Amino acid sequence: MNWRKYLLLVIFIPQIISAQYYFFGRNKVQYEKFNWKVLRTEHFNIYYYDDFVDLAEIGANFAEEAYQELKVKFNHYINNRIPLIFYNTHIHFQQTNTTPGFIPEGVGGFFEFMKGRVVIPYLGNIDGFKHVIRHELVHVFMTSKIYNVLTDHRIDTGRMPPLWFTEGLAEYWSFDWDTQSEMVMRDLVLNGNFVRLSDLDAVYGYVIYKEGQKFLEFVSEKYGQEKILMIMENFWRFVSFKDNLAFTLGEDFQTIDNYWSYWLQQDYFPLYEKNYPHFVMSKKITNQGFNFDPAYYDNKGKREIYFLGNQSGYSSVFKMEYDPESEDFLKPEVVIEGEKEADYESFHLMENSMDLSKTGLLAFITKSLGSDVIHIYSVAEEEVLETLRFDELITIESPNFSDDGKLLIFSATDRKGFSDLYIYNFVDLELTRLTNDYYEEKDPIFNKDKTKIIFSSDRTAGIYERKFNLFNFDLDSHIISYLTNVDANISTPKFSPDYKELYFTCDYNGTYNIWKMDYEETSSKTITQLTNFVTSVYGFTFIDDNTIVTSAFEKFSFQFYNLKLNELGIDSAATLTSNFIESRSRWDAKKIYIPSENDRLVYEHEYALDYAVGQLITDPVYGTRGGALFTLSDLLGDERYLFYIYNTAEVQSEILKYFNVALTRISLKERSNYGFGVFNYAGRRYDIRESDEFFYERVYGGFFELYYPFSSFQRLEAGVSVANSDKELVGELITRKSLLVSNSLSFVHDNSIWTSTGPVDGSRFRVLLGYTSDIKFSNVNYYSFIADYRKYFRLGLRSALAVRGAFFVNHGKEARRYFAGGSWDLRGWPRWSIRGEKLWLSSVELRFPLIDQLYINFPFFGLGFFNLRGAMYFDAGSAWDTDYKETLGSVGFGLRINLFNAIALRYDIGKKIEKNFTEFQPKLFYQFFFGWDF
Amino acid sequence: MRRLFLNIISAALFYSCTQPIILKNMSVEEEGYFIFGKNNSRNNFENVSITEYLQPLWISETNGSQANNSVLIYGKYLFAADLSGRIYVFDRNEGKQLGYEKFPGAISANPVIYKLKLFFVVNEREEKYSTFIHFDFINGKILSEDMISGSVGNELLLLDDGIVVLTDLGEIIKYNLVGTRLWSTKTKTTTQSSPVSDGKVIVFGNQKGEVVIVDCSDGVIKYKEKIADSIESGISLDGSTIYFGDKLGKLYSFDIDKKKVNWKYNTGSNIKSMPVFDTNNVIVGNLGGAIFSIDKSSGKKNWMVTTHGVINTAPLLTNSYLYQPDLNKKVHVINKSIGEIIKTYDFERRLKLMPVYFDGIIYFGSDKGEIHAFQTFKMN
Repeated sequence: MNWRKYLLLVIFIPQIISAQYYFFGRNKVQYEKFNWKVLRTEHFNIYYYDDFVDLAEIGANFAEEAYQELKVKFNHYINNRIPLIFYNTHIHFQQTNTTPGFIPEGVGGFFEFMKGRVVIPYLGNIDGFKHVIRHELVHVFMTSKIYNVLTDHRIDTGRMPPLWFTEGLAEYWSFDWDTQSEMVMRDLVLNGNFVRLSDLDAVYGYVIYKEGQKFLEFVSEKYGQEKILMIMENFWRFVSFKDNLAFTLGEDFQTIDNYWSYWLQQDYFPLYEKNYPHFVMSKKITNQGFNFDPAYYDNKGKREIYFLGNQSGYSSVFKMEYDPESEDFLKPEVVIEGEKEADYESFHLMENSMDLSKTGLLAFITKSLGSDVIHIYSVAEEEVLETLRFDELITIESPNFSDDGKLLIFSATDRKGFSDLYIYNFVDLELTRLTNDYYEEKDPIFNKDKTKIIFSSDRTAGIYERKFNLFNFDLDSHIISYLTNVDANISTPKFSPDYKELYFTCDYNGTYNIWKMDYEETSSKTITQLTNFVTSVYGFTFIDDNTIVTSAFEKFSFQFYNLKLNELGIDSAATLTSNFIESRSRWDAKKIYIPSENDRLVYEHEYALDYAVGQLITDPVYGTRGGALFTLSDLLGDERYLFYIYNTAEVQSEILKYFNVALTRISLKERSNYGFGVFNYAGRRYDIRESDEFFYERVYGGFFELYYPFSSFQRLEAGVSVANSDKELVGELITRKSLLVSNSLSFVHDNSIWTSTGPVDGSRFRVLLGYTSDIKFSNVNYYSFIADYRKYFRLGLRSALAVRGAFFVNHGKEARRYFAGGSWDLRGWPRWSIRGEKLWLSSVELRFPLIDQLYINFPFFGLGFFNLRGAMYFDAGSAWDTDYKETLGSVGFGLRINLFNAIALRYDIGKKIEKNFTEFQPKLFYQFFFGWDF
Repeated sequence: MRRLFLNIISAALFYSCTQPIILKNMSVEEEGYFIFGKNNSRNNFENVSITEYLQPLWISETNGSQANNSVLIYGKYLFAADLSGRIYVFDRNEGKQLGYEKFPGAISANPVIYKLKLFFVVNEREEKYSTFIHFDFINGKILSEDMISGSVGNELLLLDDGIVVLTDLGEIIKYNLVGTRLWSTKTKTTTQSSPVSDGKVIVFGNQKGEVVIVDCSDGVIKYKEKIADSIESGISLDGSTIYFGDKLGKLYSFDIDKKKVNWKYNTGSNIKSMPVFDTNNVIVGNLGGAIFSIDKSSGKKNWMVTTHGVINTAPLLTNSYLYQPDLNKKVHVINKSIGEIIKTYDFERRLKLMPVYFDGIIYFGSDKGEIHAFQTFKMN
């Protein structure tokens, strides 16, 4: 299993918030048209599509097995069928409409509370699939159990245990402690980054999964396994989860925390007797970002390392050159910058996804539109020579060239979800599939004479079933044979420069370390340990016979280390001997038994309510007003309906006059998203675009909107609406009737990267053309033009210079006004006080981190503030109808803070620039508001 | 004057929102079902021969749900405690609610009824203690209270000379019949296994898998040995033999006089519910949804039936059939001779309470505090 994938959760969380805001935002593109089917089992409705049937049946069996186990563990039964939605790859999973947000690469599945849906991608490995299914089902059971405990006691159901308990339980009851868990906990405890129980509520990311899991192991060992269920069954008793924990475990919270910390230290501190951190045996050569897949290249005597990393903020290909004078590597430079355009939409940082041939060809994999592609880059020519896209292959990883650069071997996942080996021949331009089964194949390399492929696979059968061992694939006979058969997982094989020895990473001693075996000695059954790092080595490359550069995990970071093999001096090298006698040729994954064809159905939309809210207000002045909003969608989230009804009549006779109703249908099923609807809005209005204008207006009509995304970064928007508008100005006997037809066409671009309060890199722009006309009475007739461009120049990891230029025009008969002023544009000026049919704005802003963490301890509670950011800005702009009035501006300094990833608060101090930009206001202005940085 | 007015208004509002339990003109000689499991042996066996056919009579509701206990009966009244801290009284023939008392917490274990008095324990919200309450349901008054450390989810015992409470922390407490604490003994082990008694000793299991025997008169621990894995099931007492299950799914027959295991049988999944028995057989279900009938003398399996649900509630055993509630919203009627499910009744909610038979009627309980009464019919 490619366990590294799950760690990505840690890295990408800050980018989740870059979802759609205002009229920019990236696109969630449905590149695929999924043909959904339903498999009904005793406790599940399994939704899958196309050719994923084999793995769906295996997954269904895992789910039913987990159900039987969890109903006993929880002493609980879930009476309704649980919807389980499978995607064959992570790339398809990212297209799901079951959740509106973007799904980062590290998310291996989720349980969605509102409709109780479990959504899971297949990541190429059956054991990993089983783990995620079980993990999510623990969430389902725990949520249902807690809900029942609270309703049984007639207590408000609006609370759940803290995330560390929820995720820790899901891990603890879904699988055994593994190499990745061990590595993370070793790193946390030994490097002083372990978070005490008392502070764990404030932590997010992967840490809480592993600390939560380990804490529950501690509870089982010290207090008894039954206490875990008791914590849930006592959940009704205390509002505070800490009080519940103390009550259930029978000790005060601080004592539990102390014992837990001591228990961990007892477990991990002795490791330093034999294991060592990376800096002890090797020299750290990178310090920033996360760095993977080092590949050495001798560029006409220049020693270069190419690698994947995110030091610049975007995942990119970097180059790092060795400087003989300083005997160190120089600062890395970007070779190919990713995540800014469709061809390099994302790099799969934590997968093995890059190789460099001896002929100077760099193969690297990116997600491009709806699948992975392989780019071939010439180091000499410094350009991408070609991009390989294969229709049937969705994800690709582990590319490796033959020595002559004519062949490329890699593993890839097809539409069935099978992760198999493929060879691409650059001479014949032919793709050949080597394996075709549900075992996971990864990290293939050629032997010296290109007669065999050596690869890592979980096809190990027999005594060490499902362990990742090394295998030989004979290219003549197509016979697969064991190279190793040990009770450990082996990955990333690399030949020594002379091809005599095979080096690889192996997790036999708890984390992945470097081991080797003699490859030429065909009878060799022994592998030998070379390093004994306390945390894992991810990948490595040979610089020469004696030097290796590793990518290793330490202090929750992935950095490169320079390692001299002759200086390792491991005293008593561990060895393992392969046991070929008790190996078998294959193992079989059990599938669910489906008794009848009737249990395999084509999916038909199953609609359910998402949200319903109603309100009724009665007061002596305005009478009774009320309304309701309903939204419903189908189980896969592809089709949605919104229904809105509201009435603001103050007296009974006006009920029909003040009736508001709207019905909208939105379809997200295909790449082109569209929405249409009808509406009738009526009531008294105050138009903030017009000064002091109150009126009664009734508007009714319909609309149609279409969104076509070219990629994640760019889209076309088109809209048309027909609306009959009857307007009566209050206090005057003036009425205006019109039948308005509005059209608009927009092009939107956004590849920005955000920190906590706004973008710091990339660019965003929108260009809009529109035309609004009264086709019946000619009372209204104007065109619209908007051009809004924002560019962010990154100065450091968290600081940037942001510039904005925008021009807005409405021109014609009864053209509506734009407005400006306030914290979002022209700071210092009263909010929305600057109005006109034409408007321009320009801003320059320096954004920088100010305070990372501020914690105030009051006698009875503590208050923490995180990521307080600063800004220095200069704004200018103006608005007018027919004749240009004056230029306005402001300069100043501001503070921003993100609260709960939901809202940013802003406080600005500065001086307005008045009188047609000729003088500053005499005093300072102070402005407090909310909103993201432009 | 103003304060008096407010007090009157408050009292009026309070009175109009509650119906206190005041049951006048009651005799101390009424028949009924006074304790969980029917008696201190807790076999829940009824020596009647009734058909599998059940005719719905009425459904009534309490505010909260119940734990895996049962209703109680006293004459024409039916009592039910719930997890929202209320004790209700219903007319047991019509299901009409006659009153309830509310306490700040949850009542997880069944009350016991003794001569027009209720004894029960309230697990207090936001507190680490519970309160033992002695309640007079003729006058609707609390007669005495006592604070107990921790929770009480284990069922109470009604002895000739007192009431026995076993806390989740493993403290066993005896009160006399006017609610005064006589003695208490701490075993210092988490205990989720309702005790039984033969009048001389009290027997229960704990989560270390120990069987604990305590002297009824003074609370002295007479025996405490690890016999099984964690014991979370109820215990039933058959002469000098107790039956219980453990977390690994093993059903034990243990002689409390000889202090030895007669036999054990592995059912394969955690046993939470209480075994029931008749003359020849002991019957138990497990959380995996399987129900087993085991020969009492040999420990050999008579039959096994799978329900696909979760069995965490003890069944009602009669001469003819076993009436087994299932968390999967069902009640299975099983021929106790051959283990065949004769009929399955579907409910709207999950079955929680152990069924109680009294005077020709079976009472079931499901989620959200629903109490269901069914008329039974005698076999020809």
